[in-house]
Amino acid sequence: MAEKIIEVKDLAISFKTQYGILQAIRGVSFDLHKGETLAIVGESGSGKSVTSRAIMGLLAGNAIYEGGSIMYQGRDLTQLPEELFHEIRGSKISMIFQDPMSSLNPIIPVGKQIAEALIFKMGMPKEMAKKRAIELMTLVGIPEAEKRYSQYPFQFSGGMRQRIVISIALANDAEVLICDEPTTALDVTIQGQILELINKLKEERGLSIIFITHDLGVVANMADRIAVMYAGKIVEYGQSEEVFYNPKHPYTWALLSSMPNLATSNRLDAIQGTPPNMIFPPKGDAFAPRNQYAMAIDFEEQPPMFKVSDTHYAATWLLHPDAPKVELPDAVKRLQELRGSVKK
Amino acid sequence: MSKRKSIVDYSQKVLEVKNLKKYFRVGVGRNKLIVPAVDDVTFDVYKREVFGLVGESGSGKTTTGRTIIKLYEATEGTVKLNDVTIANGYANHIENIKKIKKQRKLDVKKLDPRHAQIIKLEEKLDQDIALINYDLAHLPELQKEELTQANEPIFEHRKKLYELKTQFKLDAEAVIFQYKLDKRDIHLKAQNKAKIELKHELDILKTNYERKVDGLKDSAALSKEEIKKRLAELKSTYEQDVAALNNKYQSEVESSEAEVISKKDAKQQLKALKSETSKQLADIKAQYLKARNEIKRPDLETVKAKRAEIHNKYKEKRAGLNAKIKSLKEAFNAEVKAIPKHMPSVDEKLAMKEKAKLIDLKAKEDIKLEKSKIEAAKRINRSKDTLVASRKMQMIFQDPISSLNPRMTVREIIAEGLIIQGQTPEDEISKLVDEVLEIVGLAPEYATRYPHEFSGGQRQRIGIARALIMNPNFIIADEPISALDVSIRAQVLNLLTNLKEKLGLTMLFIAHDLSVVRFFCDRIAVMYNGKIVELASSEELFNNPMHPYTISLLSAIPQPDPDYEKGRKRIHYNPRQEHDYRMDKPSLREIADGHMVYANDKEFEAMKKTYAKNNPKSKA
Repeated sequence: MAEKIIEVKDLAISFKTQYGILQAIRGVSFDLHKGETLAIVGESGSGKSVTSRAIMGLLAGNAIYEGGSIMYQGRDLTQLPEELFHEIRGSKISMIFQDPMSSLNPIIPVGKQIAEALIFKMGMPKEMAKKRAIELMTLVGIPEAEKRYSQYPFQFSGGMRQRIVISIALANDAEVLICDEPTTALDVTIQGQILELINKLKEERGLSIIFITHDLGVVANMADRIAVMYAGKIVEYGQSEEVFYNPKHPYTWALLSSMPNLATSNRLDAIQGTPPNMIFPPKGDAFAPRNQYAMAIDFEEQPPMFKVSDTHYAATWLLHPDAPKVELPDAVKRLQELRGSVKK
Repeated sequence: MSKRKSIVDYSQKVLEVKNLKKYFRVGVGRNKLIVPAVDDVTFDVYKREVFGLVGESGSGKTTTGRTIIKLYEATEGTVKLNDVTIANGYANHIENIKKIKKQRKLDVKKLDPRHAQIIKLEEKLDQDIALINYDLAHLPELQKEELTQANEPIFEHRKKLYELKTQFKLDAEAVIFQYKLDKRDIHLKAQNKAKIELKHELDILKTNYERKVDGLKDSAALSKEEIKKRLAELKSTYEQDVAALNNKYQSEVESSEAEVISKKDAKQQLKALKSETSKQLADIKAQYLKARNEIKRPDLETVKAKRAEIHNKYKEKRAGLNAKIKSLKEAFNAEVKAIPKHMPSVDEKLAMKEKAKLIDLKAKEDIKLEKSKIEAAKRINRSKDTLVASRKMQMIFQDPISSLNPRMTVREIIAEGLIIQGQTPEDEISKLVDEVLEIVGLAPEYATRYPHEFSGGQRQRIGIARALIMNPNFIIADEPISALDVSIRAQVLNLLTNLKEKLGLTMLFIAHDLSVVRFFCDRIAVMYNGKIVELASSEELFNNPMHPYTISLLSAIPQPDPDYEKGRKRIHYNPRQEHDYRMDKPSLREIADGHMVYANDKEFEAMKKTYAKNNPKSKA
């Protein structure tokens, strides 16, 4: 197994709001290995963005660390004072945000925005920074980089803007890249281009990537390992193949079923209802009220992480030895069959 | 393959869109530009059908939807809803009127035989002059080319100088950068590392301690004495920790103290580094100056002479061409003079007048006809019938956040349409709102709340309810699920499917996500640059995509299947490489039953062949 770069252990974060304490993350643990892509999948409000922002030290002022740690290079990032975080944020751990329209400054030429990162962080002289910025723009696939160096963000299309954002994130040779839904605001064809670019850069530079998304289709192409989050907890965690072809948690089943596939005819298997209000988190399994496989114990007690294999874990009472056997949803069965036919 | 039962009634058209065009005018004056957002789109939507409109952003799919529901005025073409024309474009008629007026003037002039002759001569003259003008217009370009060639030595010289200078700058900056790094190293060497580490650790301890103290001070749950006690405890543990840290690092600090170089040494090293750097800089500068002096200056005199030569050459050429035009004009004047002057007799004059009157009359009639067509189109666009018919058409918007007024309650938002229509009594409206809320899966109690209290999926349901309360039979859904999460997306899609079946709705579904369109739509039109490039039933489109753009779109859909994803190759579409439409113009052609492709003759033949190869049965 490769070396661990980031270790998140029992991380719990709450937010003070005017209605009470909102428990955004309730004990999340995962590791990021060197050179891998870890995907965090979940609905909006599941806490995936909060997790990534905690790693970047970008949480809002009303956030409270309830416990746990984020270890990076022998330091606990949750305890790190802001002055020391400057050495890490941007130069060691970098982030790409969801909306390329609003993450660039509209009144500064894009090239300058890339060079800025080099000048402030590395203390590079201006001419050198400009040369390096043009190199970076060429690297992320912007044609005629020299000409476009002095253009403004509004002169770029959405996909091109996202490329600029990526080149800013890569400017200081970060080793960890956090992508927070980088393609949600883009068209299908542009999305393909950006995903291919991220994969290519990962291979060339040996990046470790945390990829956050709600779209399992995007994940299949990118991820080595997948963590499925729901209501501030990781409910399933494993290698990409394991999560797709042998999912154990009903929530993962539901996510897979709610995507249209080749056999979908009339209706999708939607997940009924909405995620719980995390100011008053439910007593038992948070997914139980929306879960068609829920048992009595699901409403009483939170399930522990059951081990499926050395790399695959899931938090559901269905894995308890006393649990009844259940019929898998069609979409999951179909994927398993496909897998079987490919193997033969 | 289809498990879905088709409920579409193909005998009844709900929507007919014919040659619909929507051009936007952008900019003014010289920058004026006409953008064809929708360019000649024709399709029909049948009863209870879901018709999908797919394309990237900028392909004109949203503009099509908005033109149909008359948020935009159509430029050309017609839209019929339930056999009533609701939108008419008339830009072509305005063009026609201009043409007729021009033709009339010419026709009247031609009546006089002498004028007729002159006009003929004029036409010939215009042609000849146009040819010469064409040459004239190209002269500056050619001249510029030759001039740049002549100027080449000067540019070359400047370029070399510039390159040298930038290289010098880069080299100097690299040296300075290195100097800064080395300087920092020396400074670091002069400090005790263990001490710095100890300071960091102490800092962290201190911030933690202060945080805890702050937390305790504000605590309302504890009594004052309790707080005091705990504070004292905290302080003692903190002091213990500090002492422990100091102890732990003491030996390290001492041992690393030995490695630290003295301040004097550091100063000396810095001095040496500085002199070394300035020497390097001086070297670089000397090299640069030497190289600059070595570059030869171009011979300005020869360049100047060459330029003058070129100028003269083109001056002569221009003069020659202008002289030609002059002589042509003179010849024309002479010919015009040579035409015998003919004073028409009174009879002839009368006859001419009669004929002119006839021409005028005809032109006036033609213009009247065109004008009446415009009037009719305008009248239809505004008429009451259209208004009544349009009520049967409603729209669901893309963004559930910005499409709901944040200052109105859900009830006000949903009821607004009925209130404006003004035909339903108030107590009934309130009942209808409750009903429609239940249909879209929201509790009637929600009616008094405001949009910000709802999640994205629920807001989209409100948008759907607002469309449904008008009891439409045709709905335009403009990317209703693009802004939603995957799981909520499925809920909204299922809701739309239910409504479609229960209420017998017909739908125009606009989307960029082909995977959703595939199972939701009966027929799909793929749009690119304002044109429909392919139109087929959804099964057919996914099984036999013919147009290269459709193929590239299909190849971009990600699937939740890692094995498939590893093998997936995205196909790029580049219209400039794919098509050669200079001579052979493309059009929408039927390749199989109900399957239309936008192609020219040559492409169409090739497509036919591939189609037959892929579907041997259908050919037989």
